[in-house]
Amino acid sequence: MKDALNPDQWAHWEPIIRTKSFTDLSSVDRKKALSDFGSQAIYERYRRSMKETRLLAEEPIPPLRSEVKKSLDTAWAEQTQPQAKIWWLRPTLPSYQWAAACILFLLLGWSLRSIRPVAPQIVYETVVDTLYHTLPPDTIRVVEVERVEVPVRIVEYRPLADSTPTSNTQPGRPLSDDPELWQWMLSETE
Amino acid sequence: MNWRKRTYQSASDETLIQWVAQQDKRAFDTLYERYATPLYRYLYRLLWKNQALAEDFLQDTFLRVLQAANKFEAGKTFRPWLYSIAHNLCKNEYRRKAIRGEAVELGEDMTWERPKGAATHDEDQWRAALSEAVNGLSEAHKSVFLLRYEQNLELAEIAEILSVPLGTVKSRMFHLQKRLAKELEAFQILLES
Repeated sequence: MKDALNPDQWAHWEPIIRTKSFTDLSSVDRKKALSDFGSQAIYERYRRSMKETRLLAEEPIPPLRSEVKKSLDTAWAEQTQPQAKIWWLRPTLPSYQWAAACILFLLLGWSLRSIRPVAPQIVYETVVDTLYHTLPPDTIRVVEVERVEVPVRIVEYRPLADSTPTSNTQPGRPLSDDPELWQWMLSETE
Repeated sequence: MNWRKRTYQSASDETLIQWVAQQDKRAFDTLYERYATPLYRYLYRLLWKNQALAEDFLQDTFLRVLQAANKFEAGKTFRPWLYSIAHNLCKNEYRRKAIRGEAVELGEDMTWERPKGAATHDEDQWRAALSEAVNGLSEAHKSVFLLRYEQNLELAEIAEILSVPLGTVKSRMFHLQKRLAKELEAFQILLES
């Protein structure tokens, strides 16, 4: 085999050698082939080896299984479906989970309804607690606000004087309801 | 977007990948139909005829196509891009195997063992041995062999896929063929004797 054949010459001859035997070549190509390969026999040997190579390349292989396409379809669905930022609003959430969520919501409402009167603070804490314990972390932030103390004015009734001789001196009794006291007060003013 | 007017079968690969970027499932399916089997063949042969591995890599390749469809540059050709994704995945697998010491790769000075004695004259056996030899080629040589002779890609495309100069592809292909021709020559002598 002629060693002078270089990669560039081979790259030139490779597509020709695939399809044409030496006798099929044009007279110009024959001359060039003889110059590059050295002889017709070497050209034909390369051609045979090319056929062998192609046969090797065309070896039968096991068929491609359909599972590959199925998993790609699943991947496509996951990739292209719009993703809601809040997980429980995702349309991908299975319907039974939606149903369970609705039932829980109704039960919660019903249980709150039975507590009368429902103080706004209780409602607020129940809702916050429920969300806090059901939502995944980092989706809810509970900001603790200092309790605002509302000043309450306590009005306490006391009799004018403890030493006052009255038959009814019970503290806390409204002034207008005590006729003896009224009488005493009137006598004092006279 | 009106996708009903799209003609998928006659659309070029480059058009289809642009449609994939617009989340057109049918475009993706068409590309899969066109390339799944040839790409699977390539992966199967490149990955030591391991069917499960070839299927996994095929899936990974198409997943990457799906993820990177919007990064596909206009004006580039799709086929080398697709094969380069697959090839890079295989390259990593070869590296992993090499690290674990599992792969037996034959380099430039590889020797192919012909069946000895009477079996030498059995063409089928010789071909099987040659097939095994191809299977044992280095990743670089096997890629060139498969891309050229099995996938019928142009040399320039192969160079693009393997990210090597065109001259390197020519050189690899030449040495591969020369070796095959030599082997065949010796085989012919044995057959004729």
